[in-house]
Amino acid sequence: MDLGLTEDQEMLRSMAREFIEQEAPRTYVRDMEEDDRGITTDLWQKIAQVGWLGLIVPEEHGGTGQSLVDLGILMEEVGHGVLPGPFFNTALVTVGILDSGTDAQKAEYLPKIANGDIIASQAIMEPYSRLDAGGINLEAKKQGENYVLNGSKLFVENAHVSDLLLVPVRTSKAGKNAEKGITLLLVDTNSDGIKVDKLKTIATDNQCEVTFKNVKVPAANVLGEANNGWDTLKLLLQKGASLRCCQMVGALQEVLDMTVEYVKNRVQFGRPIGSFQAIQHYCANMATDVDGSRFITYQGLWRLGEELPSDLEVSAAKAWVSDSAQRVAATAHQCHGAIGFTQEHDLQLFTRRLKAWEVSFGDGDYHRERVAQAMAI
Amino acid sequence: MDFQLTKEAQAIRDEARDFVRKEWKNPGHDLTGGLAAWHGDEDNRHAGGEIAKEFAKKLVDKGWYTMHWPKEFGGEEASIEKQLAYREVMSYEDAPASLGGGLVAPVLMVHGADWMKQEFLPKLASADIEFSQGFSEPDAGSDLAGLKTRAVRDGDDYVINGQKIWGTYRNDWIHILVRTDPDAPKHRGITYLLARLKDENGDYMPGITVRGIPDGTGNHRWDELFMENWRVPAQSIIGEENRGWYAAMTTLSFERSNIGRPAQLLRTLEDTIDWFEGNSKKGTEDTLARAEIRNRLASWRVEVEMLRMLCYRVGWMQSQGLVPQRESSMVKATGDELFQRIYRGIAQIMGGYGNLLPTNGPNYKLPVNDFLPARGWQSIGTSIGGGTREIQKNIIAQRGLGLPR
Repeated sequence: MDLGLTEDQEMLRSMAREFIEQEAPRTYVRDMEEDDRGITTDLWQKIAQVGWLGLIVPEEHGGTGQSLVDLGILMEEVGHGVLPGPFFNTALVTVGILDSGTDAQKAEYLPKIANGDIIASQAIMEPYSRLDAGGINLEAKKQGENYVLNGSKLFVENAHVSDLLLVPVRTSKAGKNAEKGITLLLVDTNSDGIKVDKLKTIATDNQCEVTFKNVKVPAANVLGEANNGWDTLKLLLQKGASLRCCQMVGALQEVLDMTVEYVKNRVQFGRPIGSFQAIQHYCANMATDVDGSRFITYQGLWRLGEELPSDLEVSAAKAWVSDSAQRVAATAHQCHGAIGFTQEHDLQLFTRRLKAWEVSFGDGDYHRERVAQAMAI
Repeated sequence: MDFQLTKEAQAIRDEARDFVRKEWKNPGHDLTGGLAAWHGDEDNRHAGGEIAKEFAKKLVDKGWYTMHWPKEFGGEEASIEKQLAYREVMSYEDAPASLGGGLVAPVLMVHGADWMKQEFLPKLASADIEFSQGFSEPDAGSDLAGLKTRAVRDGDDYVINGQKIWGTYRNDWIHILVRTDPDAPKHRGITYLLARLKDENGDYMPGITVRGIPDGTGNHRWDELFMENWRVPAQSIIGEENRGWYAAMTTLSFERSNIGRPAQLLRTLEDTIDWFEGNSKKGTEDTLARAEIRNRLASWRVEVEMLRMLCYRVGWMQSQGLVPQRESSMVKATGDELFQRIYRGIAQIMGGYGNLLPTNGPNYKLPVNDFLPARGWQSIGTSIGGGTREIQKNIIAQRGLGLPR
């Protein structure tokens, strides 16, 4: 058992924190909330230069071939700094290509991802916002060497700046078993017939609706096995949930630290409010939630990385982190009083994103049902 | 990063599991619930104690009972991970004992006089002796250092007057905190003694009176101990006079992740699911198909997993030579509360069965085992004993997060 980080991982963490503090401080985060793209080309190039985009890409494809846990550690810092932009999505598509791509697909996409030439995102959910196999209904008909796509995907993060989308589609009708007939496609967003509409959301997290009208995708772009894509997608959803947890853990740690700092300094009735037991116990609850979130998250991610059975552990993590994030954020607001609710204060930057991440890759209820299944109830 | 246990730890886990399954059949005594245990009356409590002792002696024979002790005192200085794996599986298998010596052994090892070490450590190691603990008083609970039981030196003896509470004072010996200097700051006027409570014939020493205190359902849980001019030889001091508080805080670096808690809760959840499955096979309602029930069971499972991780973190810190503090308080505060919610919640789902006491005879066999529903009620004490939830949260906030006192 070793629940700590290696020296290299410690260095990855501290360099990531420094990088975000220098290149994407809170002023930048605020600027990007107003920006249509949500990230500057300059920052994306710098992210590529420091090696984040190639972190898990094998050396032969231009990366440094590090582990899923390493990516999780980096994602924690990305959450800690509420880094704007499509890093999470690009990283997740990278994971998908690494896990299930052909050699040709890896050679085609991974070097471009690693050097920052393309931005990618996952386009999984559809209207009705379901995460099960029955929710995948975007129609894709095989015509010669192409699939022809008609339908739409909803809540696609950063689709408006993405060059590549990982899109699960339905290639044969959902019969009794909805898990059959799903295919994963890598779709070039420059293809004719794709329309992207950016949505306004609480988190300003660049959620988009992507509409497909007779969009032709070459059959060579199938990721994994045609018609049998559910298992590939399921694994991708798990890794997405687990990495999202990492991002949330980083954000939660910062919310806790911010709150502790505030209650130490905020004086009422002639003493710091942090000396009141009611406030102290709020903070103790938050700290327990945050620590519990961290270790339950890394257990799941580590198991995924080791290819051990992890259905229960990953869903337990997302269920716990989703719910505890809302508790921690709400308690942080209570401790901050009115100021934390204002735009001037940084706390709201975190609360709004934590709300979005709560439901991302499944909320507590969704994952508790998965835990129930894993327990064979 | 590695969430798997070492091969050595996995080996003891497997071996201990096989051993318990072969050697332990619970004969209807609640022996693993700690503060939430159901003892019934005093006789039943005594019988349970004897059964636990018999099992502990088997562990002594296996060489496991003091695996955590230093080699100097006959232990094997087992790694923290091995201790953790062993305790986890013993709790999961509902074994009534695992590691011996309690809190007293490490204190004696560090601070005990030679005669104490020679007399008691072998008996602790062979599961032949247990000590009563005389810490809490009616007016010294969370503020333990405010204790008032007065010991005055008279020749070669201390003469002791006062009252202790929330222990069981049925053993021959007691380790007890007394005030020897009422003028010193409160932590610095306390002396720690190891004293005879009963004589060789099993009668209480002169000046000692013990009275049982049942809990709200009549379950015998605690005693009160009254001391009136009780004479204790001065050679009974553990450590030094007026330094007893610090001696009593000695824990050595034994494994203390409290991993038994999540292990026991996990077993309870699994047993509960089995019970409901058994019922639905008999044609009653399929409780486990109800969405709200699934959600609650899964929610508890998630929380058990989170608690398990907090426990592993404490064990891991210890294995690194670090001393967990707020991390242990998190385990205690979280574990107590979860224990209560799970047992109360299960008792609720079980309907009327959840309110039956384990004393109705064989015609009213209770769910899962004979005492599980009672734990819902009994669990009230878990977040009070051993440092209240509020004290734990104070520790997390003040020592962990640095908030001002």
